[in-house]
Amino acid sequence: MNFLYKYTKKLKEYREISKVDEIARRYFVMNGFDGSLTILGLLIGYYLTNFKNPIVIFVTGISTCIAMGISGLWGAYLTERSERISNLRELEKATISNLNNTKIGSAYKFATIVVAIVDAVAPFITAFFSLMPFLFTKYLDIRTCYYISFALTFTALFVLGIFLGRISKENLFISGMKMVIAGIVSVLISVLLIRNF
Amino acid sequence: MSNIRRLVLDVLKPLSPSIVDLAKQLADIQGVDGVDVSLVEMDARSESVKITCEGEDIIFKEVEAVIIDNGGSVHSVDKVSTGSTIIEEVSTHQDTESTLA
Repeated sequence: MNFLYKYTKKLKEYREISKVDEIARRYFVMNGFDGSLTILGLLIGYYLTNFKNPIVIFVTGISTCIAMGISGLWGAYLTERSERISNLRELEKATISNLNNTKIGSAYKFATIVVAIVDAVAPFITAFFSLMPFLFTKYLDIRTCYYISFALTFTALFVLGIFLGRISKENLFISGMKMVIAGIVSVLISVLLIRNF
Repeated sequence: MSNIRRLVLDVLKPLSPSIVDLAKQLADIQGVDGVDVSLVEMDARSESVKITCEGEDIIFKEVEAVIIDNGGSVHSVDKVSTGSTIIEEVSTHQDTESTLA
C-alpha cells in the first residue's frame, strides 16, 4: 500500500511538472474525432454502394482502427519526444545543470509515453465503438447495423464535443453539436460525390 | 564531528517544480526541522532562490540531492552554522567602517 501511495504521488508530481493533462486532452479529442470521421467515411462508402458483407466491413474497419492507432502511437511518441528533449536542453542551458536524471527528465519521459498512448487509443476507441453493431449481424439485419453504427458515430462526436465544452466551460449542447455538424458535412459531401460518380 | 544546525544556500532551479514543492521536500529530510525558501530573482525559465534550513543534524549531501533531483544546482553555500548552539554573525567595527567606505 505504501508503495502504491508513493507511486501515485510520484505520478502526480510528474503530471504537474510536465503539464501532460492539457496535451493529452487535446490529443484525445483530436484523434478521437479523426477515428470517428474516418470510420464514418468508410461506412458511408459501404452503405451508398449497398455493400452487405458485415465481416468485410468489420475487418476493414478494424484494420483502419489499428493503422490509426499505430500511426498515433508512433507519430506522437517521436514528436513529443523531440519537443521534450528540445525543452530539456533549453532548460539545462538556463540552469547550467544536467537534468536527465532528475524529476524533470523523468516527468518529460512520462509525458511522452502518456501522450503516445492517448494518441494510439483515442482513434481506436471511437472507431471501434462505431463498428460494434457489425458484430451482432446474427441478431440484426445489415441495414439496422448501418443505422445503429451511424447513430453511435454521431453520439461519439457529440460526447467529444461535450468533453470540449466542459474544458472551456461553454454551453455543452452547442459544443456537442459543433462536432456533430462536422460529421453531417462529411456525410453530405460523401453522398454528393458518390451519387455523381 | 559536529552537526550542521543551519545551512544557507544560493540555488538556481527551473520554475517547475515550484518553491512550494521544493520547500516541502526539504522539510521532509530527516534532521531538518524547518526550511525557508525565498525568491531572489527569476526569468522565463529559471529562478534563483535562497534556501535556509535549520535542524538538529542536517546532512548536506541529502539536501543537495533533493535540490538536484528537482532540477536545481547549488551555486554557493552562503552560510553554515554548526555545533550545539546556533551562533548569529556578530557585527564588528570593521564591518561598519567598510559599509561607510
